Amino acid sequence: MKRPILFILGVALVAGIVHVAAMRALPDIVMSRVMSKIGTDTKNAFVSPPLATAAARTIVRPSPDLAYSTCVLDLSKGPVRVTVPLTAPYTSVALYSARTDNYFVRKDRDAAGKDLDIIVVGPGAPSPANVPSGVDVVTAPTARGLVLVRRVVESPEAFPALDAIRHKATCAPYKG
Amino acid sequence: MRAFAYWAGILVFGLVLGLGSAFLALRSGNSGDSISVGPWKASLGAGSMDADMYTRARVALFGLLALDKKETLYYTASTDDAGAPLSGDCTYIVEGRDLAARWWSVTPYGPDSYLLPNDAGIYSFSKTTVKREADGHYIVRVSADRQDGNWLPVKRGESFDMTARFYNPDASVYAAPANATLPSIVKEGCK
Repeated sequence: MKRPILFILGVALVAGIVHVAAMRALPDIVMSRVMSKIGTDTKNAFVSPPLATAAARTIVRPSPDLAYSTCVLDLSKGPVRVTVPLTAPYTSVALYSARTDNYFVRKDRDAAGKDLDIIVVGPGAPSPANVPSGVDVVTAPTARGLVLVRRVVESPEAFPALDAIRHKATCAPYKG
Repeated sequence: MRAFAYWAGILVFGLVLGLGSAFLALRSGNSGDSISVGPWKASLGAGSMDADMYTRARVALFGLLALDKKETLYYTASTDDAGAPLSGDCTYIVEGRDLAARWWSVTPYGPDSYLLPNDAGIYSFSKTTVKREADGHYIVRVSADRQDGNWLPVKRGESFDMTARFYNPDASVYAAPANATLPSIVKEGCK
């Protein structure tokens, strides 16, 4: 006679575990898919695709006025230095963890005309011994993650000059 | 055999219930923090760094790699001011003033959420590309047919929506997003 009650309790227990596990796994799965789409063989290096047009079908609702650059971070073998020259009228540099959290963002207005220059270290890793002055050290919550640079392109005519500056950004392992 | 069916039943029902309830939890409750200004609707949850698992899962699905509302604020309109769905068979007059932000743009998207193909290669109008009247306000015609003055092309036979983006909105806007001023959308005629 206890079997039906046990059955219901069993189902509730399994359902609860599955519910929480699915909810927790989802951001990691989505982020992992995005990172492998962007950087199959290009970890710790910037990729700067052309401006979005009607032919762009990777990410929904792309902004046609933004020039994006991305760098898939792998901090498991040491820190990575990210240097980004900024362009008017708007540049932002955002760091996302493997669980989709946006743990760092800086825009051109905060940088007072200088390049954005940071060293990203993995979770629990020590700060590198030699940090150049003016460079901030940022600790990432996960070893894998993404750097996303957004630049506003004021008009189609403004793009070539901005694109040349965009390609000067670097994302590379840092040997302090 | 009966014992096997018993345990398999627990697993199968548990799996279905667990995944089903997860799906329902993600589908509902995404409208809690949405506001509207006329036909323009903004969802303020996207991109904010909240630690609970539901918020994080929702961001992964609906606002992946989004930015905090102090960085960018998005409003989307899928109807005109009268509440009629936006159609590529009609011409609309979008009229307004500069949005209260460091830079702004308005972009139409098709029903699949991608940019609309057009021969002119025009995908948006913005603070720096829109032509203004003498008093500073702008008039843009949204239509599948080429227009004089500001023209934003859409696709005949397809519905569309428009997203207005505020890059670094003024403090007054992100403090009270429901009081933001956005352009009017009025139907001029249909074919």
